[in-house]
Amino acid sequence: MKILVKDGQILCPGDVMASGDDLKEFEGSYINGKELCASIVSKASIKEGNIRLIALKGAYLPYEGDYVIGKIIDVNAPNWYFVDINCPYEAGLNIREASNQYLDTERYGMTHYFNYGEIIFSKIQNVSDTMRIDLTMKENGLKKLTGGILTSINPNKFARLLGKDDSMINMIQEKTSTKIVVGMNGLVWISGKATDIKRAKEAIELIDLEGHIEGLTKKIEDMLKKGEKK
Amino acid sequence: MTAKKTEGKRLSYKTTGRFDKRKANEMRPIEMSIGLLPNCSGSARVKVGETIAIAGVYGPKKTRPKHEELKDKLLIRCYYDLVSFSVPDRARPGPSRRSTELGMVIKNALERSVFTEYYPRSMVEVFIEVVQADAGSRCASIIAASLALADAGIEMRDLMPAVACGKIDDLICVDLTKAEEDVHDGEGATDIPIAYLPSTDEITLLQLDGNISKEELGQALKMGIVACKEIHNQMKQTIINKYQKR
Repeated sequence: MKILVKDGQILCPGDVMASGDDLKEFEGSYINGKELCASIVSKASIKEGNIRLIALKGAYLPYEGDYVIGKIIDVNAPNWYFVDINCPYEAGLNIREASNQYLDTERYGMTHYFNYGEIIFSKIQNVSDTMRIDLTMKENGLKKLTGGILTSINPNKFARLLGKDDSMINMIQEKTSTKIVVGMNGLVWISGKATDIKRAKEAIELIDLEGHIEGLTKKIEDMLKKGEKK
Repeated sequence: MTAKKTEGKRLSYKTTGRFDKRKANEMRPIEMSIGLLPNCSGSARVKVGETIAIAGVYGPKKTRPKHEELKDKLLIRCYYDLVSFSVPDRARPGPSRRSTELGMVIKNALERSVFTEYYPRSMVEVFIEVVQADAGSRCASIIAASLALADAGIEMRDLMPAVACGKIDDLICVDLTKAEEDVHDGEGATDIPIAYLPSTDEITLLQLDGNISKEELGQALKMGIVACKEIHNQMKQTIINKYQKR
């Protein structure tokens, strides 16, 4: 495989990234004859002779094992909660997967546990071929998120927002005294004082806007320091 | 308009050239920009000469109404609209036979460039507004829609350029203006809008209005494809400029 692009190069759909016989397709790419082409607006990252694409735009598509933030949109069906997880498909949360404890819906009703508009942090348990999504909350840390605000970022900037070993998100939480939960679907929940939430939100918006540019950690650090002085 | 006349004999357009002094294979100046509408998933503005088209894309999102949902692929809905003040005689607002037809041909062209199988049961809506029309509005619309889809982050085979090639009397040329389309001298004007997918070397839109011989059609298409490749490079540069600027 011969790589034809440089590290950090911006790619458009149809741009040829590599040519040769041993080509492997991955997310954001497709094989056209003996050429590996990009299928999405992205930034190329080349490490140890392997190409990886960092998508610059795009909607969230669900995968099994993803941790997502969702909003309850329907509790009408018996034993099922329907959840909007910021993607083109509705996700379903069965009452059996909603908690480790037994939930007596016959006695208390479905809305006793989760009601319309409530925010939950959950995990995708299964995604079928036709994009039927099942959620689960039977894991430590998965819970209902009460209070706070919900904001959204480009789902492709999720990793940039967390940073290496969660360094970026920890820094924002420390400097702004807020509690932040990030879903892999691009939804971010922030809780704290109103002024702190505002500062944290500004930092998150900057990451969303300039996530593909190097030296961002320093910029965010400076920005949060300025806010502290005020 | 008529070509220059000398001693009562009309000269051909091959001799007199085009009204705006362009070469036969020369396009009007093109300006493109993307991401100008913050409320859409993706957007683009394309100006080809005096023709301006703005496209906004929403999605991929849940299909509404649900009975139109495609189980195995993405549903693309395309709405083309001429703004009332876009043409010299006020255009009647709202959908018309022409806008419905153009919405369909643009959708068919775009469908070939998008990996529709990656987004089953969902839909994308493409809204195109032509705010100023001076011929070639469907081509400008396709360029804008393709850029807007790329800006929305939808997986595509390639960006899709489009251009109108054709004939004015006996002169084969690209990117006809309204004045050139209205020529009735000699053989009259022939307008052939094409959309082209460079990576697969496919023509995804081909319409023809007028008379043209088989040989001339071949020549016109070749000229159109060369023009499309030029537009394609400019489309790529527009995307690169947006992200490198920051």
